[in-house]
Parts: sequence; C-alpha cells; structure tokens
Amino acid sequence: MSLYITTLLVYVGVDVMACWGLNLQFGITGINNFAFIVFQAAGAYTAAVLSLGPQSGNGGFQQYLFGASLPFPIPILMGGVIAGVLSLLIGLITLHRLRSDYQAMVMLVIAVIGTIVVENLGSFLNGSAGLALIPQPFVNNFSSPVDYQWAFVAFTAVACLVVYFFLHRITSSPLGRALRAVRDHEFAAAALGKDVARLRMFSFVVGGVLAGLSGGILVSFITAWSPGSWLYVETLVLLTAVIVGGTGNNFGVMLGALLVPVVFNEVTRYLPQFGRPGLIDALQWIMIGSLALLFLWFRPQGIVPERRRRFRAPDAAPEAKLPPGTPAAAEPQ
Amino acid sequence: MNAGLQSTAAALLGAAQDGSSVLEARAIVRSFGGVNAVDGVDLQIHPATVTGIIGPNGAGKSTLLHVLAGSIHPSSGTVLMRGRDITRLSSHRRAHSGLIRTYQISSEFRRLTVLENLLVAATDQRGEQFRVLLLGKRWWRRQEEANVARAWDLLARFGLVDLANEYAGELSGGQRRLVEIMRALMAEPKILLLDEPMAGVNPTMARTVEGHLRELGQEGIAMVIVEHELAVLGRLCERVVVMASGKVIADGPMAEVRARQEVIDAYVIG
Repeated sequence: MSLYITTLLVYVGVDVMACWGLNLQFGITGINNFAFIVFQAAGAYTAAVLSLGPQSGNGGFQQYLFGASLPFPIPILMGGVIAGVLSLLIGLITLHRLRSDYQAMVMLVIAVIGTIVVENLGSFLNGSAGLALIPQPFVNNFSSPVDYQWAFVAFTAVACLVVYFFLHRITSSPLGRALRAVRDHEFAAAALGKDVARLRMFSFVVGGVLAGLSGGILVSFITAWSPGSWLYVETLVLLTAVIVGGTGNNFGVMLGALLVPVVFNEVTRYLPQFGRPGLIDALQWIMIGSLALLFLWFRPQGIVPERRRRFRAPDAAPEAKLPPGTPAAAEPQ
Repeated sequence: MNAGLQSTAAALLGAAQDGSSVLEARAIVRSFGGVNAVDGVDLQIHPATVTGIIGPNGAGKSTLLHVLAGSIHPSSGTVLMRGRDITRLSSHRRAHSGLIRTYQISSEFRRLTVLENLLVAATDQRGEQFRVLLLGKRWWRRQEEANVARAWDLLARFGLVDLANEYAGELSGGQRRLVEIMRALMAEPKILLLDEPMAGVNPTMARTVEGHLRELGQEGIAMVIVEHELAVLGRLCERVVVMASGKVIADGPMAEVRARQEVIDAYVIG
C-alpha cells in the first residue's frame, strides 16, 4: 500500500510539474504545443542514458548512445537542459513562421515523428523495447525501500516547490504580463514594442525545460522508459488537465493535474471489467477527450480561473479631465 | 480659399520644403497576388501635425498604415523615420523608436485588466528581462510603481478610473477604443498611427474620442488617422490625403480636397 501511495504521489508531482510547463506555454503565452510529451521524453531519455552507464553494462542487452553514469542530480538536470535545447531547435522552426492551428498541426506531427524515429532507430535509444534497469538516484543511502520511496516523494515535492516559486516569479512580473499580452493579441503586443518572437521562444523553452525535468524525475523513479510511455495522446491528457484546472492559473493547473491524469486514471482502474479486453482503456481516452470538450464548451476558464491582478487606486486619484465639450467617457456596458 | 486654409497650406508647404518630416513613405508599392493594394505612394508626415487618410473601401489606406507601422513590409519602396531607413525594421523595433499604431478592429488584451493593458505598453521595463527577474523584485519594483502611477494618471485623464480593474474584454466598443488610445500614449509615442479610431463607436463616445485626439494633437504628437468619418477628420486634421485604387489622388486641407473632382469621382464612382 505504501508503495502504491508513494508511486501515486511521485506521479502527482511529475504531472503537476509538466502541467505547469504546458500552462506557461499554452495557458499564459497561447502556444499550441501538441508535442509537449516529446520534451518530457527527451528529459527522460537523457536522464536514463546519463544514469545507465556504458552500453556494455547489464550484459549489453540495451543499445543507446552517450551512455554515462553521472551522479544525482546531474542526469535529471541534464534532462531539463536537453529538453530545453530541443525546444529551442523546434521553436526556431515552428514558432517564427506558424501560428495557431497550423502550429498545432505541426506540433502534433512532430510528436508522431518523434515516436516513430525512436522506435525505428534501435541503436539510438533501444527502439520500441525502450530502456530498463535505470539506476535510481541516492538509493544506496537508504536501507529500507519504503524509506527510499518516501525520500523520493520528498525530493519530488521540493522540486515542485522550487518550480512553483520560479514560475510565480515569472507570472507575477511584467514579463508574465507581456506573455499574457502576446497570448491575447500578439500583433498589438508587437505594435507596442514587445519582441513577440523572443517572448514566445522564452516561454516555449522554459516550458520545455520543465517538461524535461519532469521526465527526468519520472524515469529516475520508475526505472524504465519506452516509446509507449510518450505517445502523442499523452499530451492531450496534460492539456486536458490544464483546461480543467484553469488555464493561466498555476494553482488551478495543479488541481487539474491531480484530477485528470491521477484521479481519473486511478478511478477507472477500479471499474469492473466488461466488454472486450481493452475496452475500459479505450473508454478512458474517450472520457478524457469529452472532459476537455465539456470544459471548453461550458467552463473554458476551468475550475480555478486565471487570477485577476487588481491594483489599488492611489489615495488621491486626480479628477477625470475630459476634453472640453465632451460627455462622460464611461458609457454603460 | 480663406485666410486660415491659406496659412495652413503655407505652413505645410514650408515644412515639406525644409525636409523636416518625421515619417516618410517613398514610392511604396504593396501587392497581394498581383494586385497592387498600395501603388507608388509618396507621403510625408510632419512634426506635430495631424494628417488624415481617407478614401473609398479598398483604396489601400489600411495597407499603407500597415506598411508605415511595419506590420507588413512593402513590395518595393522605402519608409523613413526622421531620415532613417526603417523599411525592414520589425513593428516592435519601430515601436521602440516611438512609432505606435492602433488597429481597425479593437485589439485590447482581453484577459488583462484595463490597467494591465496600459502597463504592458510602458517602455523599457526592467521586469520584462529574465535575468532581472532572477535577481528579485527590488530590481524592478520602483520602475513598476512609477509605471502604475502613470497609468492611473492616464485613466484619470480619460475618465476611466472606475474601470481600471475590469477585464478589457468586458468593456464596450467605445471604451475599448479609449483603452487602445491610452495604451498607445503609455508607450510614449512620437508618431501615432490610428486605424479607424471611430469604427464601431457610438456617436456620444465618438465625440469623446475625438476630443482626446484633438488634445493629443495640440500636445504636439504627430498623428496619422485613417478614418471614414470625414466630418471628424475635417475637424481634427490640418491636412487630408485622399487615396483611391492604391494611389494618392489628392493632398491638402479637407475643404480643398473635398471640392476636387477626382475625389468626388473616387467616392461616387469608386
């Protein structure tokens, strides 16, 4: 039971971190990134190969490039770095020239291509079999597996806290305001002097880094990673979590990450089996898609809407100075 | 021609002759699929003047404004700002130089409050730099407070203090126009390009917008206004440029250009 709970908590932390990254891109900056899971996968693979050691280890039954055995937390941090570099490269191609629907389509295609490439290049990241027996970080410091599991939960929680405060620093600043302006009307933002391409790239790369870190943490815990773990539809789960929780609100997104990928997945696990094998899994995907549609239709702002930034009027606000001969400016709505 | 018009025309002629234009378009052509929306336009905007651009639908007015603002690049021709070639400069770099535009369709940041809309436009914000953010709020708080104070002043001037914390997307059409104008002012413009500022605005609010624009003109901001309301332009602008089929067909004071046969033909025949 303890293992179940700790595993669930690590998944919560990883999903929350990933959803925050996606929220920065989609909820705050308005970038439609349907390839988000690719960046989580990049982080996971990087952390895996930098922990596994040389390819010849474990009897050489796995093929991969750049094998190394780096100490914790370097593999996880490198996962974030590589995902960030990949974001930069993909962003250079997709962010400058493409907008909205077209951008979303290209991202979706990138996600599909990514899986196919890794599946078919066996010597790159061990193909469709994926990587296994990935060493867990700081495991030797604990004699009891249960203690280790809880220590990993604590590490994940600390990582989430750091990410939360980091993101809060961005979103509560003029930079966050500029990102939201780009989301609402990028041409008007550019006409007011905002470098829209740079702002979108910033958001895309930071979101990619967070995706990579979440992938690095996840793979360090579950010790295995394969193309089946990052099919393009996994992005839709995270996107649904962001939409359900509340786009643009990190607290709401945390709630969404708890409700959709974790609670939703866990509840369906306990449904009695019926119909042909795999039917419940298929229904699960249908339900997640329907959930996103229902929220977009009836409550697009999500459970916890984006926070309104209120400013207190100065104590002695100057009297309205209307041009001579004009009526009051504030007309009824 | 009465004495007032004569003196205005003389002033314009003088400004043109001394070459003191703040913004200049030279032989601008912009084509879309073989059709020249703007076809060889030359235009000089002088300091502290209000210039109107009028013409029938499809005349190329908005396209010309896009080219001047850098939203689209011309197929050929040159745009100069205070003598500097800015033809290939992006719109955000032009904005840094003080060339600010508004849009024909309201372009408010709808999920930002009115005050935030204004704050976005403040120039050279330290808090927009990532490395400054990492250092902490104390590195940008003071500038932010100054910007907030300036935004409140603008809201007070435009009589919209009560709406400061409302979402811009929830305002009426006229209020959105005012937000756009305030936002442009927050960016400290030297040249203001306004694309149909009266579009979708009720007559009462239109008079308010007009009053504010007149004030801005008197404060010395060079303005270019594309507008269909000829009466409004007649009251606001010293000079009106008439376009038809992508070309400038008349240029001068409103009373003068309205009397010209080619202008009447362009409006009546199209």
